[in-house]
Amino acid sequence: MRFRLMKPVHLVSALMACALLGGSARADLPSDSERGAQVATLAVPASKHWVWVNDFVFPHMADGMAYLIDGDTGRYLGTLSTGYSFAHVLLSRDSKLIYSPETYFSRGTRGTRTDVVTLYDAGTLKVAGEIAIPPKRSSNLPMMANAVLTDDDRFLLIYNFNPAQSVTVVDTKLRKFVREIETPGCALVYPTGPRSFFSVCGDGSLSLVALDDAGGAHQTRTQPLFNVAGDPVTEKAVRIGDIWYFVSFAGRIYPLEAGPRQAAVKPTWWLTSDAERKAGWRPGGIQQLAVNSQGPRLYAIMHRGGVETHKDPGKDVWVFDLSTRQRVQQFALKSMATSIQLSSDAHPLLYSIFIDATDLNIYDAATGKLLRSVEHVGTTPTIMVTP
Amino acid sequence: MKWLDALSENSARALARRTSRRSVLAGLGTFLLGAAAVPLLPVARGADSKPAGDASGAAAAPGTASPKADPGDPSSCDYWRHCAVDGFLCGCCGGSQSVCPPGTDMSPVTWIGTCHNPSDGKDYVISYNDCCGKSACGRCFCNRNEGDTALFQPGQSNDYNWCSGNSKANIPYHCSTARIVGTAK
Amino acid sequence: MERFLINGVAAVALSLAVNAASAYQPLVNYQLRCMGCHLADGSGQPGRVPSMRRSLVLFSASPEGRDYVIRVPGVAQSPLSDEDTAALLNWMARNLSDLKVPPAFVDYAEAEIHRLRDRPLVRVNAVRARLLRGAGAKPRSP
Repeated sequence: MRFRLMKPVHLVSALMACALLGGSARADLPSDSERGAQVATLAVPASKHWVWVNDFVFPHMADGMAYLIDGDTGRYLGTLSTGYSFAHVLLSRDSKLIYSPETYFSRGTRGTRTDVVTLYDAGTLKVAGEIAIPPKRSSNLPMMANAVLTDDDRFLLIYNFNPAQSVTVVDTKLRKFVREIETPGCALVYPTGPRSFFSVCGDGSLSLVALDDAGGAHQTRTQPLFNVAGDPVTEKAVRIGDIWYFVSFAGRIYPLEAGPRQAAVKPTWWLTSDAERKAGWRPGGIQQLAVNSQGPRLYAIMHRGGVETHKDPGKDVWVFDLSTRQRVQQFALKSMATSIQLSSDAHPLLYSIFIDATDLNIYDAATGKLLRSVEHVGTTPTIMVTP
Repeated sequence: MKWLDALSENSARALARRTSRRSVLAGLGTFLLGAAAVPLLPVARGADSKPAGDASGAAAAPGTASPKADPGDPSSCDYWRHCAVDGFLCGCCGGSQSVCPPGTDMSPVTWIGTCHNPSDGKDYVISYNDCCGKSACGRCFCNRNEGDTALFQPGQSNDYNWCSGNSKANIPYHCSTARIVGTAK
Repeated sequence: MERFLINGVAAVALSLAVNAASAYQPLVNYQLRCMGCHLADGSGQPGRVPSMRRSLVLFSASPEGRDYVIRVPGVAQSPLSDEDTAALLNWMARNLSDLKVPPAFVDYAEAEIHRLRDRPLVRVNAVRARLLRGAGAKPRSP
């Protein structure tokens, strides 16, 4: 190069070039091992825009998983490893703990069966405790109603099936198994208060249970409330306040108001018009309904398929105003979905996922606009839980 | 369920369901159940003595029916007995529509349905016994929901893992059979 | 049959689904509605599903026992009609039992089923154990 008077910027560049070539002026990057083993932790409380995607890993059911995603950034935050025939995590209302009913075999896929409720610390995702429970929690296509917390988090209720039907009651304060409630002919658990829940029975009636502080139970059976023979309701009900919204295979909504000792179905209504129903439109999926108390609104995955397609995925979401029972919006998802979920805040995100794909799609729930997609979320993702 | 209707809107959905890019799960992961006269068929608990009375009906031993009488490919989702199957077909896993693969245990408790045999025009009671004790086979997934109900009616729900009914069967679900119990008359 | 109310109005049970149960013989009804858990011979699964091979005939001899048989959820909640339910129980007593039907056996009747099945039992295990003790039989689990 020709040496002549250089402009300052060129001089600086030249000096830097020399430094790089010479290698003496820049310090080495600090060593990570000097800081010891570092493990990430999570903020507590969880953001309302975080979502847990639960996965029963159908081809390898001994390896159940749950994945935590930040809906605002699309960042993958962490994992839980949750054993055989996993259903879903339950988040404590104080944001400190995550409960997970789990099943293990002494030799992985055979041997002695043990069921536990694992408690995970929400900030570290480490095991904070374990409660042994009768080894009979129901193994089925995951449902939110497989396990629930009572409204004050005091009792954790788990549906058992072997094939006798019962409910395990766990006291979360004492961290122990309290009792098993016989619920012959009835399935799953739906909380209705701090000390009450119901199960749905095979004839369309409900088994209402009132608990006392010791986990003792008083049971009442109602008359049949659902039409089982003609158009049964699915298990995938959602709740706003005192009302559980059940939807039938054909798309009829049964708003159910239930307490410790009584229950009533409010006027039913259809997600579809007569013409739409005739054209085969109906809800479908594994978690096809979601609600948010803003509005309040009900979101449903819809598809055209007619009879016996109540578990089919859909690409359309219909949005209903629950106070007027009118459809206020329709939009298309980016791709097929078997599950949707809403965050619980006032500016909600809508999440959608397909059990046979692994992309989590995140939308503005108010507009249906796709905000971001997160790839490689799980193997057979099923239901989603938001704080 | 118009599985084969290539012209319907469902075809893409049906195709997606049967030809997952991972070849393991197409569409909706659910469990297949069925009921059969487990104590009486050759493969079931061989040491059990035949009880005084039973409800097995007269079922042909597996593999003895002529192809014409029992038409179709038992390893195919479209096989007539699979009208309400949900899971991996044992025929692709070392067993058959009536026989569990080596080293698995047949669960005696199960889900039962009726399917129509197009060859003889009869309805048959089909028992979808699961084979259990190993992790999932992962091949030939098939899901059809004819007559399926919610978990509230266990006897007609294919969403339960019926490997849970017997301590010997050890809950891990491997694959599903479709065994004839008798004619539905 | 009209057994429930929706919106305060008696609703007729729709039969959109093919429910041909009432067209079947008792054997087939047993296969479709009971065999899945109670097995082909009614022996069930020790510890999980009760055997009926002794209890059905034993319980049928007393009003309390018959009350149990009809109100146990598997019977009470079954979609079979009252008539078909009665026919099924009578068939089971004669075909799935280690105990022979005694001469004094009273067949189950449609009206009897109708009267009781609207109140499915809740405490099944306790009632069953008490009935077995009362019948002089040792209660086996469940």
